[in-house]
Amino acid sequence: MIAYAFKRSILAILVALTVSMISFSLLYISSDPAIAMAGETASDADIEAIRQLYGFDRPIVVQYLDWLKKAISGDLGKSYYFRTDVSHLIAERLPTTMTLGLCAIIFAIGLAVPLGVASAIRPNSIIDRVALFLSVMGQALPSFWFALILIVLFSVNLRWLPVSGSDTWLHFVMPTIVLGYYAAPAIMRLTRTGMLEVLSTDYIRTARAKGLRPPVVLFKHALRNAIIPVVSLAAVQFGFMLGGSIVVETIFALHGAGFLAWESITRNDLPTVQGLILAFSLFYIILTLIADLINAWLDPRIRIS
Amino acid sequence: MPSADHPILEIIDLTITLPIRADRTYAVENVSLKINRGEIMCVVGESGSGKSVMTSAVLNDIASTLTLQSGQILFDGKDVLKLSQKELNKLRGARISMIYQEPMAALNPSIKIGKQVEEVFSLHRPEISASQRRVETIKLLEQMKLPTPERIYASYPHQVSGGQCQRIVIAMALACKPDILIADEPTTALDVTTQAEILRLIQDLKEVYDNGTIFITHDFGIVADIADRVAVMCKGKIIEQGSKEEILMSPKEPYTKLLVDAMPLLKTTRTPVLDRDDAPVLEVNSLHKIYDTGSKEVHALKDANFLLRKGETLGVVGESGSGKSTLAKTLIRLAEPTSGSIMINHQDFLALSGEDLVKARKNIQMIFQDPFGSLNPSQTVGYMVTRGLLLQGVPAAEAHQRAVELLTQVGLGEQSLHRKPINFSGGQRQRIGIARALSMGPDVLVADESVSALDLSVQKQVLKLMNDLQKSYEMAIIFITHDLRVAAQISDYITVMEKGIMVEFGSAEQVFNNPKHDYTKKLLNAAPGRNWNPPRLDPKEAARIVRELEEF
Repeated sequence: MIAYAFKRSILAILVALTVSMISFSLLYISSDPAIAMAGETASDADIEAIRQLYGFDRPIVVQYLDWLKKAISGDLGKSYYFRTDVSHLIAERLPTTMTLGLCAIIFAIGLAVPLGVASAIRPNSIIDRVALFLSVMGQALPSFWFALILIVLFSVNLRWLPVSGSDTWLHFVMPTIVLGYYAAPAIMRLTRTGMLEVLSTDYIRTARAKGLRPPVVLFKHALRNAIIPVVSLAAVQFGFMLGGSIVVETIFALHGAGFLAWESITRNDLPTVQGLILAFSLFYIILTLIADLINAWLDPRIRIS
Repeated sequence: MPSADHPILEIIDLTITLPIRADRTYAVENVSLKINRGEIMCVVGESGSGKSVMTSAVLNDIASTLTLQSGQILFDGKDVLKLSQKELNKLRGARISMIYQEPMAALNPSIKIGKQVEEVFSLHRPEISASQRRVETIKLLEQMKLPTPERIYASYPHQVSGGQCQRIVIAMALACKPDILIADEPTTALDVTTQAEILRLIQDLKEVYDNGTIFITHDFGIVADIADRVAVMCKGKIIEQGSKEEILMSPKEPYTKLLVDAMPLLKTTRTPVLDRDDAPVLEVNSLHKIYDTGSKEVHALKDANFLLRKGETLGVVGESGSGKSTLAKTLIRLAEPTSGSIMINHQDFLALSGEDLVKARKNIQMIFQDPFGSLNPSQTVGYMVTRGLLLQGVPAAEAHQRAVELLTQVGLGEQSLHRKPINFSGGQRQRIGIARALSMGPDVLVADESVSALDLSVQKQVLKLMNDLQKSYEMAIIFITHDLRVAAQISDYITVMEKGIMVEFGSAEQVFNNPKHDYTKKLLNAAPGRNWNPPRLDPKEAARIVRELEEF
């Protein structure tokens, strides 16, 4: 297990380095950064001065290593728009995004896994039909539309929940439901398929033939094996929630990292976009690593080759 | 003496209904069977005959798509079919237990073996304290003749071999000294030598525990080796039952006669002409294949040498992992050999590439093992059989003509052209596979376990078909099988493979009657039913019975 974890971690670091290179090169893909910084009216001499001042005249490898060194120590440059440190900006927005993402993924798993298991135990039963209906709805309903319905119902009519903002936990209830419900169908279907498959295996038949009670068969012998692909999916879904919940964050005016990314793209705030891309990619890499480790813990065939 | 008057288990008039759209109404129809202590009752039948459904009813664990219509299963004075879940759980694994066909699949992959065995103790033997369970489990594993039981206790199922897995499953089944042991084809997935060991184990344990055993199998050789009594099932009914001698030596029902007749024996059927001087169609010289798995190299095929002439068959026999499939794959270049040469009609097959290779591929064709996996379900039979010809540039009308001809020769007829694989049974699919391979008019045909997945009666027909086709097409055949008895039905020459090496090579007669290598002797000794000489039907009589049964 330790050897496996070590190998996976090394791999994750390599992926992170690759991502950092792509993210660094973004600065150059758009245009010559010196020209962009100098502005439209600058003379050639001005541009050359900026080039030397910021070190754009050095070899690209040296610039990358320099940038990487700074990035590792937390210095991602200054935002063109806010005129503050990018890392500071991201750190400020992260708690909101993290809270929303965590709540949403917990809501999604809490809704999807039990429903998936229940519908696999009795395929084509009422509960399976209800679960299918819920998952089709979740897939078909655009999240902005669903969010508006919730706002009309709970904030405008019933006045139970605040419409927007991120001050108290009540502010997070509706965004969590919208974001979580959007992620739930895939998890539910995968749990159902996995469970159906596992329940028809020979070792489940063996477990029943041993005289084990049905709940023991279900939870001790079946679920552990069925949940393995769900872990990987949930990790990707969670990563998506951290980076891509722009629509939900916008509707509920939650000033999270996703919202910041969208703002910065529209403002051509390149350092901020670059920093965010790096941060989101690192989330994905860390989550994938965690999912791999959980799976290795669940499945000895991965752990011991 | 087993007491016939006091059976330990009695199935009375059991009927189980299949779902509405199935090919027949009943999975099991009016089945009655008695099992006595210290007796092995073999239930024989082909796939789909209802034998597994019947045994699942003994545990009251039939699939949810099936319906119990009527009948009783008396055990210990009670009807198993009427017990509550709680009472059933007390019975299952303790007094009636089961072992299955796929030992690797029967164990939970994510729980340690020791824990899985211990589970039975904690369920049914509360008198054994938690701390004692480990000791008892290891004792049990020792009794199953498992090497290093302590290591196996702490291993996961994927870390031990198939034969060891089956011993573990048997250990689990016998942990509580059950009165009834149900074994559902427990050795079908195992190698012959492992099979012989497991069969001996089941017989030995019967002596120790004095339990009644229901042993399901399709192999009359196994029946001959271990049965006390035999029941023959066909389409959900028990059509004949009696002592082993009665069923094996003088079967009464036509269907049983046919099954017994289909049993391949360890007797050669062909003698090659040894002093032929015509040019060989296939010549293989010092062929090697090394797989590099990153951490280590696996020498899967070592120094294979042989030659075959027109119309000759080489049977390649070996257990799993012996390198016989690697040989097949390298011969048709599905996998590139590491070194060596393959000459087909004096052309260096390995030197070819691009267009030349495509052209030369028609000279060597393959028939695969799995009749279900090897045909694309979305293509029609006609498409599959003509595709190769069209790719070789044969005009469409001619290809069509050729396909009709071939399909008629393999016994399917023109009407099968426009149908898809789903409409055909396993045996018929394998015929399609043969037609597809022959459509190219190959000089060499590689058949990799091509009849292993088929029922014995179907197997016999397909083997006969291959023999007949070889007479008219005169192709050389490499026939790969794990079963010496099957190899005997078609081979002129036989080679036995072990760990990538051809340890024995000779005419079929030589190999069977005068084996040189120890491993060959071991394989021959392990072949089930080798001391049994079943009554053989006149081929005309057999054909008549087949016709009658089909009409029925």
